[in-house]
Amino acid sequence: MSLTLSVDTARSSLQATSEQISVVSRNIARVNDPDATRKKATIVSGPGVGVSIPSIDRTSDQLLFNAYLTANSSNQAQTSITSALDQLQNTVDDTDQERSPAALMAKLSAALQTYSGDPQNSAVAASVVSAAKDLSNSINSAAATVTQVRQQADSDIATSVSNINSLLSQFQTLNNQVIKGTSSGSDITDVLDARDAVLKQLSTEIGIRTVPRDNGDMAIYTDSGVTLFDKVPRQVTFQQTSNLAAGATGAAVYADGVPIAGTPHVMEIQSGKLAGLVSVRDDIAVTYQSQLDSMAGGLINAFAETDQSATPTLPAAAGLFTYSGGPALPPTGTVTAGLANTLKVNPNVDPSQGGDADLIRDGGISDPGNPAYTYNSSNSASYTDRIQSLITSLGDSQSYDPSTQLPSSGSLSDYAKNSVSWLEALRQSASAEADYRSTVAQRATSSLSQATGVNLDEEMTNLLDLERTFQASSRLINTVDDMLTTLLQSFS
Amino acid sequence: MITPTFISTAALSSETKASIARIQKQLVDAQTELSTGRHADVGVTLGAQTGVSVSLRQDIDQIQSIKDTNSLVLTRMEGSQAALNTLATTSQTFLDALTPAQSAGSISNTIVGQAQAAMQSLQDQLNTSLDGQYLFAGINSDVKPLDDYFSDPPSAAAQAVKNAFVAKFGMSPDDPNVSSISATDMQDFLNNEFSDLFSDANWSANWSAASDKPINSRISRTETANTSVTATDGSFRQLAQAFTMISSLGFSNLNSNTQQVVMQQATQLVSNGMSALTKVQSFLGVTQQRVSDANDQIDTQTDFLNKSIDGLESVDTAAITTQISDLSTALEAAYAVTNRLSNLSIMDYLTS
Repeated sequence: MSLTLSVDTARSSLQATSEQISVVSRNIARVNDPDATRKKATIVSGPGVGVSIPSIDRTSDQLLFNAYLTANSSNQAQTSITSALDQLQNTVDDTDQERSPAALMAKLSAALQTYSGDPQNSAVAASVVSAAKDLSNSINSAAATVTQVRQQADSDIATSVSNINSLLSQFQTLNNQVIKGTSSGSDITDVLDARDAVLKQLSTEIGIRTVPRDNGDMAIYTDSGVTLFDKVPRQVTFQQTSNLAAGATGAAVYADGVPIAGTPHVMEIQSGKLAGLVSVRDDIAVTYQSQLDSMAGGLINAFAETDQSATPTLPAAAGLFTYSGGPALPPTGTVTAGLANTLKVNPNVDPSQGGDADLIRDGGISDPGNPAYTYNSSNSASYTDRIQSLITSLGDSQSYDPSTQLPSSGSLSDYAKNSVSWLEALRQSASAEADYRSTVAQRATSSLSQATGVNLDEEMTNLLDLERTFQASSRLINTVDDMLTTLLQSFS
Repeated sequence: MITPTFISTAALSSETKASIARIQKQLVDAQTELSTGRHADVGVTLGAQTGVSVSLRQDIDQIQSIKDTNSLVLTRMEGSQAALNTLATTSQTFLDALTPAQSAGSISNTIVGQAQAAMQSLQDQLNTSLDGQYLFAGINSDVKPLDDYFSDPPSAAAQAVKNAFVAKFGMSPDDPNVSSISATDMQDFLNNEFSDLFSDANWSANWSAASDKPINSRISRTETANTSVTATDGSFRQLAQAFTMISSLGFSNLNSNTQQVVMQQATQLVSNGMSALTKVQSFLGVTQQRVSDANDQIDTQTDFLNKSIDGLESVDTAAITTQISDLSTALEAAYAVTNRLSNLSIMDYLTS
């Protein structure tokens, strides 16, 4: 062991310490970056050559990372569902506001009741018309909201798909760097962090599984098993629909040519924003629309007018409520898509459109002047039979399409009430589920961060140690220098 | 180096941030609940039960509107009842005038004037209107039920009476020769031709514009009832028959035997008419009772429904108050912890 060797060792220690300090400073610099992992320089002491740092590692925990990806995906799916449901909930509002179709139906029934008490008063008749307009407007605007929610979901799906494609291409760049770095042995920890960050973002959009390969390579599959990335990114495609009218079906999302969302399919993705949006667009909003359509159909049928002739020959026709296809009645027991959008109060009965509100009492709204549809044939001012029968028919049992997920028979007001229940029950469970999943996601985030993140205190403590090592090594060089100086002086 | 109790700095601060946000959200909800007394988000809290709450409100709307119309209906029935009472009094007065006149054998001519007054009163009462609606017109409520019988030119009814008289006796009732009409002939006329004038068809044709269909009202969610009496009712016809018998058949000029016959017939009709009137009044009274019973029931139901809504939607304010103070304490603690944590940095203890 010579003095020169000692200086070499001390020098290697200085070098290693500097490198360690640079790692510490990198850690400190990214202390608040949630995607950053804790780096550490591994020191290897070789025989005779002092210490060296062959590689810089990062702390990672694949298990926790995967748990994070899953939790994040399912949380995102639930978040998009919850926010869509909140939008739909605006159509029924708080029970206290009484703005839901169900509440306005009761208001219409109440207005009819008031009218039945004062049937010769045209002002009261006009108030029935205005209650009817409130109701049809509320169903129209609810249907418009549904269309808007679906349209929004469709355009969000397009955004999500383009995000996925751009993330996959970023992933490709980073993945190539990782493979190159791994084979050349360079420091790839930051690239790995960046690649993980891309995966995290990807899990926001779509549920994924990752499979590690040789040389740090990684393949990505959807949670349903369709390849998203294997050596090269697979194209995710989606055709946005410009006008998603009621009854229109949105396009499916394809990955690598395989449908992954939007059509019932075995390879359907389960989580991620994309899954949530597709479920809103193709399931929740569509069901709600069909409920609104059923309500509209029920209203038109409940207020329909029948031929009052001794031997009826004319078909029943739309009365107080009509729609774009009126005066023919929509079929009962089955959903006519888009009915809720075109439901309106018959202009023949609307004083503001030149109609005669008294026709509610007399009948003949469908075809004013046609004696066949006139109930009040004696033209009596206090004829209440028709009004009474309208009140009754609002409460009469009708049949509904079972596909609307509500009881297939019952009164119209019950049906409207059940629709509120359906929506709020969905919101309740979605909100509870969202709370749960966000807690799980929060937990996964903090577990991951705790396992792999940077602790400032620890880094500072490490820095103190390193400072001491650096001082000691410097002192060593200094001492050897002193010794050599002393040696040289003794010769002079 | 992974130490078992490792925690990252980012996790440390994000935990407190998350918990502060959570507590604040709960606090906002609790304050809303305290100020409104209802759940902050009724829909999410009740879930599938929300429909029940909506349905309870539907019921309240419906029965309240029934109560409103019931009060209108009650006012109308009270108006009808008052008119019927007046009519009963008039008829009684007329009957009182007829009876002594008959027994005394000396017939006062003032009875004709009284009959005219009674007829006048009958048509006035049957033409009672309330808020533009004729109470005794049935569903034809915008049409005055009876035209003035004594109008000039003569009303359809007066003309029909005169025509029948002329057809039978060959002279007008104003003719002094009516004294020649025998009691038997008069009896025959009264029983047949004259009585015919008050048949269903002739009554509607000449006398009354009222519909024979009474107004039908929904007085509770399940019950409807006829809530008016129409001028076509038999009692009114009998009374009108009796009044016109005295007033329009040249009574003053008839011989006393014939007068006797007319008076007997009139007395009979007034008594029958009055007992029929009593039936009408009691029918109306029963309906009034039904309506006011229905209203009482509606009040009870409304109370019950409101309580049910309260039970579903309202929150226990005492519990909320406690919750708010708990949450405030928790929030203060979270702030204190954040403050401590930010002070608790190794940087403060490292000296260069």
